[in-house]
Parts: sequence; structure tokens; C-alpha cells
Amino acid sequence: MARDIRTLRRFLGGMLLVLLPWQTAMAVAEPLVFGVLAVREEARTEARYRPVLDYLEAAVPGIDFELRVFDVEGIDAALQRNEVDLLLTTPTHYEIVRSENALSSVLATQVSYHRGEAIRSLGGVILVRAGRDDIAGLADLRGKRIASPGDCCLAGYQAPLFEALNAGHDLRGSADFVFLNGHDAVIAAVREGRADAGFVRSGLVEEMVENGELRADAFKVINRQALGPYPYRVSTRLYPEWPLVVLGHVGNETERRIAAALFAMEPTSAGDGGPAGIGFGPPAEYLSVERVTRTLGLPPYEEQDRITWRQVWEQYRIESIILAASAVIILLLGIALLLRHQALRASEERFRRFFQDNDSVLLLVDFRGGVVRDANRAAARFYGWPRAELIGRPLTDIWVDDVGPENTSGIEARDVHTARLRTGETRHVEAHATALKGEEHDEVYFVIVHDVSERIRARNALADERRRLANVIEGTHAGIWEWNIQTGEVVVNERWAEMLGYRLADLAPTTIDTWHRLVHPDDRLKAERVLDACFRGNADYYDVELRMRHHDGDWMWVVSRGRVLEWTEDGEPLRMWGTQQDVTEHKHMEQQLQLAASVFVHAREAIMITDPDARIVDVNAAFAEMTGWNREEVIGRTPAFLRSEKQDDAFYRRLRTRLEKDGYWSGELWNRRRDGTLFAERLTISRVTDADGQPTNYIALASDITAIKAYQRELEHQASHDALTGLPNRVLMADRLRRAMAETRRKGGLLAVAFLDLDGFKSVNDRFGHEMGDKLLIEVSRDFAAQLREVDTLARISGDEFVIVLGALENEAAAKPVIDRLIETAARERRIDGKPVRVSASIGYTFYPQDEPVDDEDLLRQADTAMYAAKESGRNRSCRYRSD
Amino acid sequence: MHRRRFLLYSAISLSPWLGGCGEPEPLRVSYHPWIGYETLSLAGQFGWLPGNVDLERRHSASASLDALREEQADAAALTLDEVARARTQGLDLVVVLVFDVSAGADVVLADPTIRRIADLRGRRIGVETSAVGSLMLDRALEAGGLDRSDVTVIDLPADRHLVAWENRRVDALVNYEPLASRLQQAGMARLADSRDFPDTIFDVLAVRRERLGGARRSLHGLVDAHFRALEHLRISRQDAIYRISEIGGVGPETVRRSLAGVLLPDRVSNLRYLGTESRLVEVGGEFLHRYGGGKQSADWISDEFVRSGERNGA
Repeated sequence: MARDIRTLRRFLGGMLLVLLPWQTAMAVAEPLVFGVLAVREEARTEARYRPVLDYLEAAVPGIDFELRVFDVEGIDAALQRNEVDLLLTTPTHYEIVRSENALSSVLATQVSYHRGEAIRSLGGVILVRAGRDDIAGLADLRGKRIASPGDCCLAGYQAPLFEALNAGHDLRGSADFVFLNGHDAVIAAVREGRADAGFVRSGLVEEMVENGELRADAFKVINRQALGPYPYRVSTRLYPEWPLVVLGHVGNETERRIAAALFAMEPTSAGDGGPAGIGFGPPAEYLSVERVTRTLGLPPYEEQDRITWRQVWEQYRIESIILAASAVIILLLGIALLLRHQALRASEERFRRFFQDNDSVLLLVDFRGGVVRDANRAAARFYGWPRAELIGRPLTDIWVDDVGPENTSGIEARDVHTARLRTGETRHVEAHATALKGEEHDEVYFVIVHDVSERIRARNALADERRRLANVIEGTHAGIWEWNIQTGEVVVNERWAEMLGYRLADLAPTTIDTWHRLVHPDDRLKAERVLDACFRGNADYYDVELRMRHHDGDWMWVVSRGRVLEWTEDGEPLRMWGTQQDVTEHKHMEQQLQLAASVFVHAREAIMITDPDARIVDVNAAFAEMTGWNREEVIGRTPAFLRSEKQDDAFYRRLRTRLEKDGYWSGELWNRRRDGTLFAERLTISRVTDADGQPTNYIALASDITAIKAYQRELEHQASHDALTGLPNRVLMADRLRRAMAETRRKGGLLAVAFLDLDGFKSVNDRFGHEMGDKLLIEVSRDFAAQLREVDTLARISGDEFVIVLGALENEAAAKPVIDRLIETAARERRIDGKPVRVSASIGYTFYPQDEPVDDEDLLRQADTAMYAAKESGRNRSCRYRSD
Repeated sequence: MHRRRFLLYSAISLSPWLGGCGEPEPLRVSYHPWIGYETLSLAGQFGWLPGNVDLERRHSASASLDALREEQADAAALTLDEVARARTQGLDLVVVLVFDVSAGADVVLADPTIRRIADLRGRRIGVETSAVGSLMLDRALEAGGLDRSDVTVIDLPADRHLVAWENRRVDALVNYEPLASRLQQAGMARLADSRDFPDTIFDVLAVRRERLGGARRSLHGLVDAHFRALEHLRISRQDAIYRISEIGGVGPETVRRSLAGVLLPDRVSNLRYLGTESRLVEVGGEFLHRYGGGKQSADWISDEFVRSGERNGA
């Protein structure tokens, strides 16, 4: 706009201010000029707004209105001449008007009606001829020719420009603007190709299409905004419709009436084929437009020539900050550099001191040149050269091996080198080299040399120890375990695992739980008790035999020994080491021995163990019980002290022979107790030999069978004697008879066999009872026995029958007196239990030998027959057997 | 060798600043159609959002909550009570911005014969129970001296409310603009709205706590973009209304009416709301308590991001 006459305008404005009251007074008479900025031809605009003016004439009595239509240039001139009272113009133009005429304000905002819909916003449209595919978006406008109705226009210039600027394209610099007079000119220019694109206001194209002035597909709109029900295509965001500006010299009351009238106005109808209807509404907020103009720096917000620091700060805030920060950094760096320099000096000094005074052998070495550049006192001492001579000395003088930086750098020197002293002596050393300058071409290295002879010796000794230990472990074939009691970790060797049938890898990771799993539950308690004692310090060593499960599933015995060798600071056990040996075999043997010993101790039989010379090695408790001798008394002696005279020497000789021949003897014999009593013994002696067959021991098992023997005798007696009278029974009698017969045959002489039958015995039984009868028999037997000699036999063979064998008779006559006596004895009067009892005897007898051969049966028969004869002859007598 | 390494390290350490403002991971923000959240849509349209912010428009608050839970989203636009409820269910969300305070946009509509809230006793009320409607309902019932056991609550998603009223399957409905206007046109009367319970329904931006540290710049940028869009709404209201109309698929009048039912706090107001001992913090605490999360961490409301920011060049 016309900047150069702005001052003039201001002056004029000031004048207006002064003249205002008079102006107002005059205004009543003169018509109010209603100015309208023309978008299209003036005639069209005139026609459009005529209805509004007509309405106002009618609605506001007392005031005349005059409609004047201006183009862009004309409006400015009219404003300068202050010819306009009410102005309907584009919002951006209003901004300028406002800035030049402080008293102007917005009375109302235009509302246009399109098909009954009220539209209160407008926007810019960027038109491009249809078919121009090279222009699709804002970016494509760069370098193009753009037609515009004027730079004061909102929709036709500032809005699209703002939109492009926001998208990052300042078209003022990059596009070629051509300003034409009016929107129609812009449309024509684009259509005819004189411009690549055109900026127009919203709704124009739609109006022209409706009027038939334009084909619908003639143009395309780029950067279309998505504004929903907004009826027109726009390329920018929306801004409020045109303001109706009232300039300062219209009075308040007039303003109010005009505003009221306008708000009450029904929208004008669209003219035939004409523009949309017009209406007015309350003033809108034009801040958004102001923002646009300000951002673009257009009037009235164009930049001043003077650049203030504030503006620079506003505009280049971030750049300023970076610049300032950079300056500060540079300053700080400068200071840092200075300090570094000082520090460097100090460090050099320090280095010198460290180097010289250090007790380690330090050298500065030039590997490329192969010389010693510098050495400290310790180096001089070590190598034996004075410092001055050491410096500059070739490396080959002091190092035997070919040493270069490749094999001396790093934390661990892998090789040990040999250094040569002045004396010619060599030492094992380790050298650590660090590059001093750090650049490849200047190979000065800082070298520390350590005499490692001692270390090597120690290392070798350690290796020897280790080997020894490993050999011991290997030699003992022991399983080794190490247990960290706090963490539960357990480390075992291969043998430990192998003992249980596993590979070490199978058991990993080994912890105390591994052990728990493998230990027999019954033994665990025992082991834990011992462990507990070790932990408490009550026991020094852990030494336990326990069962562990072999891989195959069997239980095997191991002996586990160990000791807590590391304790924590609180006195808790930390680590324990130990061995484990397979003792399954031993255990079995042990168990067998225990069993044997058990047998030895607990057997009821007396057991005696002797050495091969029959000297007693051990006896058990049963032995002591049986013989009355205790262990201490008999150890070392032979069993001869047990002998009784019941066995002769021959017996013992036979015993020994048998023992030597067969290896064992079994039998019965009579021995003598300590107290002298005899006892019968069932004895078995066995010989024990070793693997070679040599006798190592004799084992004798004996049981006391005295009682048994007595019982045996008792039984025998009972078998051969009559229970009641104790006399021999039939069986014994027969035996005795046969023997007597044999004796008689051998020695000569005679024997007599007599059959005695008690007469009347039965009636005694019947009268006095069996008890009496028994007592009678006993008495009678006794009496009979008293009559007989040693060589005679008296036997009771049944109820009241006796057999008497008279042996060693010289002749037959010798038998008679005995038999008569027997008769007499039997007939004697007796009193038994106070009762008189009387019996008699009938005896039949025969002699042996006889003319004819006879056996014992015959004799008995004969005697029996003779007895019957006696009985029939009257009883109480004897009768000799007659064969007829 | 060592110098080179040092240089390399220093280069690496400087790179975040050298490389511009990019934070490596995208910040995924989920929101649903609601007038208070449309500033996000506007900011997206105008390109005011930071480069690594991904906006995702889902169809309901429940969908946004699900997205948070399944870690498909890092932040979401939700009502304060929805955030509180999610917190008690184990989602550690932090409130960093207040979009709007409902003042009329949330309503309780009813059959015109029901004059007072107390008359709702024994009636059927349709409400989307998973969302803000539940809160409105509770407050309204409280105000009328009732509780949920006095009425029959029918869980209805908002898009079924109109049909339910037309078939008279409900006596009252709890929902919000613009649906409320449509239902009023269909004959329902406004029984109560959020103006009766001022400073109760806050629509906020909630961020997963674990993303807070790594997305500071993006969050600042997002908040700045929101306020920029808010200003656009203020000074270019028409433009904004048309745009929101297009995005939301509703007419400008509806948009206008919805705007009328909310208060849109600026930065200063936001600072007040998100500061300690504000009404919002108090209400938030009540919600936590109500939903059973007694001892939640106190610091789930932060005013860090609404503090006048670096308008960073990122």
C-alpha cells in the first residue's frame, strides 16, 4: 500500500478526531455512504447489495443511505477522502483500515446464504486448470506464475500464502505473483494459461458454474480442506466473512439502529442466476486473520527497517541460544586447554620422579632402534651397569631372547624371557611394555621388568605338590569330596562318581542334595548326627560308614571320612573336605564275622576253639556254665583237665586218630566239672584249615547230656522191669535166663527155672481192693527176693505170676530147700493196713540142661506145666516137671 | 586408540541433541469420538503433533482401555473415573492433561412424565456401564436419594440408546452429546446433566507410567499441540467447527451444541486442576476409593507436561 503517505493519513486521522463532534452533527443531514469492495464487476456487486440498501432506507428512518461500489484502488482513495461511513470489505483490508483509523470498528459480519444455509466463513481457493497434472499440491506451486486479485486480499492472497508457508513453502520467494484487477481477471488468466494458478475466494467458482459462466470441470482445486458441510471447495482454513466496518464518525445511536436493523433483516434472496443471498450477523472474531497478516509480515504488520535485538531474539531464539552456548563452550575449552598444559607439566615432573625413584626395574626402550633410551636406578642395579652406560646400550646386551613389542605387551606376559646381567649371569624375567607415545612410527616403549626366577621356582614346587596329591588320590583310588556347607555346593572327583556307578558328568551339578538322594535313609540320620558333632566342634573328624545307592539300584557300603577345614568369621562351618572308600566287601565280611561271633556268644552249646596243638584259644559262656571253668582259667591249656576216668586212654587215642583222618569226631563221653562232678557230654570236634589245607584251629561243640542219659537209663529200666515191684519183667527175665543158660553151658552145673503163682490173690483183690493187692505183691516180692542169692533172678511176669531162675546149682537137690522156703514165705500170715491177708504159692520147676536140647521157651513151658500140676494137687506146694 | 574411542563415545552421547528431537519409540495415543478430544484430531490435521506421535481413533472408551491393557497404546483420552477404575485393575496410568470438564454435555434423559430423579425408583435405566455413564448415573441417583438397588440398570452401549427409547424398552437413559440432542428430539426430557455435578466429570489424557520417562519430549509436544488446537478452536471457531463436523460425521449445529456443554480449560486452568489439593485430585481420590484401590500411589496426577513448555523445535 502507499507507505509514503501514511504520515499524511495519520495527520488526516488526527484531524478527523478533532473534527468529530461537528462531523457527527453534520452526518445526520448527509446520506451515509455504504461502501462495498467489489469482488467481481462493479455492476454485479451493485446489484447484489442494492436490496440491502433499500432495506436500510426503509428500516432506519431519518437516515439516507448511498451505495458505492469500489475496486481495490478506488476504496483506498475514498477512505483517504473520508468519503465512506460504512464499509463492507475483506477482513485483511479491514485490518489496514483499522490501523489507519483507530475509531473504526466492526458493526456486523456478513452472512451469505446458499440454498437456505447460512455461511459465516470464507476461505481461499487455489485454482489450477484441469489437466495440469504437474501441479498437485502446495509444493508444486514453487516456481509457478500465480495470479491474485491483490496482496491486501485475504482469500485471494494472504490465506493461501499462509497455508503454503505453514506447509514449509514461502511462495513469495519461490513463485511469481501477478496481481490483476478483480477475481474475474484471475479466473481468465488461469483459464487462458497466462498464469499457472490463481487465488480466488471461496464460492466464486461455484457461483460461476451455476451461472453457466464456467464449466464445472474447468478447474481443479488443490490442497482441498476437509470441512464437512461447508458448501464450497477451499484450499485454506476458514476465516470469518466480511466485516461491516463502521468508521468513527457515525454516532453511537445511529450505529445501534443500523445494527438492529441489519440483524433483523431477512436474508436477501438470490437474484435470478445471481449470487447468494446476503444477511448480517453479530461481529465475528477476526484474530485469526490478524495472525495470518502478522505471520506474513504484511501491512499493517510489516517489518520495520530497524532490526532490534528484541526482534532478533524473537526470531532467532534457538539460533541465539546455540551461538551463546557455543561461545561459552569455546571459552571453557580455552581455559581447559590452559589447565591441561599446566597439568601436563606437573605430570611430566611426576613421571620423572616415579620413573627414577621406583623400586621396580623400569626402562624406556626403542624397539626399532634396538637401544635402551632410559633406565631408572633399579634397572641399573639389576643389570649391573651404571645408569649412564645402560642408557644407549643395545637391547641385545641385556636381553637374550629376541624381544619385541609383540611379545611383551598385555597384562600377562605369556613368555618368560631371559635377561643377561653385566656379570654374564642370566635370569628369568617377565617384561611388560606399554607404548609411550601411542603412534606407530615412534616405537618407544615403557617396559617394566620383573625377576621371576623365584616365582618360577615356586610355581614348579606347586606343580610338584599338585602332582603328588593327584598321584596319592590316584594311588588310593579314593573318591574325593569337597563340600561348601553354606552354599550346599559339592565338588567330587571322577572316582567318587564311578564308585556309585555314575560318570561325573551325569551327576553334575553336584550339591549336598545329590548326596542326600544317594544315601540310605536309615544311615542319613547317623551321618547327620556325626556331622552335627563336627560342626559344633565336638568331633574333629567325620568318619561314618553308610550305604549309598549304586546306579544299578543296589545299596553299597562306603566309608566317608572328612574334616571341616574352613570356618566363617562367625565360627560357622564353611567348607569340608574328605574321602570316600568302597567298603562293601569289608562290610559283608564284617557282618559275617559279627554273625559268627554272635553265634559263638549266644549259643546254648559250649564252644571251644583251640589252636592246632589243642591249646584253648577261646571258649564261650555256655562252656563256662557247663564245665564250671571260666574263660581266663582255660585259655592256653589243653582240654585234658576235663577228662574223667570213665573213658580210657584208648578211647582218646581213637578219638585223635579219627580226628586226624576225617577232620572231625562226634560222640558221647563223660567229663568232669571243676567241682568234680561228672557229666555226660555229646561232643563234636571239627578241624579248620586255611586255604592251603593246614590246620589252623579245632572247634569243639559240646552239650551236657547227663540228664538225658539218666532219663535214658530210666527208660531202659522201665522197659525191663516191672513198675510196681521193681522186679525184672518178662523181657529181662528171658534175657537173664538165656544168659544163665549160656553160663551153665560154659561153666557146667545146673540151673532151675521155677514158675510161681500166688494162690488166692484174686480173692484178696476182690475183697480188699486193688490197692491192697498191690501192696501185698510188693511185700511178697520183697520177701521172695530176700530168699534168693545174687546169681538168682526173680521176675514178675504177670499179675500174680513170678518166674525164678536159680543159677549155679551143683545138683538138683540144691534147688529144693530154696523152693520150699519160697512156699513157706508165700504162705506166711501177713497184715496189710491192719487187715489180715493170707495167700499161698504154687510153684512148678524144671532143670537145665536136660537130655534133650531145650531152649528158654521150653523151660518156661515146662515150669508152667509143673505149676499147674502143683495147683491141681492142692496148692501151696511145689511140683517138679515130669515129661510124662 | 583411546582418543578415537573417546570421540566415538562423545559423538554417541551428543547424538540425541544432534539428531534432532526424535525419540526412537512411537507414542501411540488412543482416543474416541468426543467433542473434548477433537483438539487431537485438529492437531493431527494441521500437522502440529510431534513426529513420533501416532493417533488412533477408536470407537469407544472401552476400546481405548483395551488397547492400553494389551499394550497397543501408550496413552489414551479417558474420563477421570475410567482412569481410576483402570488403576484399581492394575493398569498404572498417570493423568497429564485435562481436555475438558463436562458441564452439561453428559445427561440423564427420561420419559417426560418423570419429573424428579426420585421418581426413577423401580424404573428401567439404560446406561453404558463401562464408561462415564456409570458415574453420571451414580451421581444422579445419589442426588435423588436413590441407589442402584432401587432401579433396574440395563447395560446398553451408546449406539443402542435411540432404538431402546423408540421401543420404550427403557424409562431413562444416561448418555452424552450429541446423542443426547437426538434423543431429546425423539421426545425424551432432560432430567439432570453434568451441570448439576460441576467439576465431576473430567476428560483427561492418561499415559502408562512406564512410557513417561522415554517419551517426555513427545508428551510435551502433544500437550503443546492440544493447546495450539484449542487456540485455533477459540480464534477460528467456524473453521474448527466445520473440521470437527467433517471428522465426527455430525452437523455443525450438533458440534456447536456439544461445545456448549463442556468447559475447555487453558494451560493456567490445567495447572490448577492438576496441582495438589485441587478438586480433580480430590474427585480422583474418591473414585480410587470407590473402585476399591485404597492404597494406590498418590502420584498418578502430574502437572509436569502442562507447565509452559519448551516450544521445542522438534
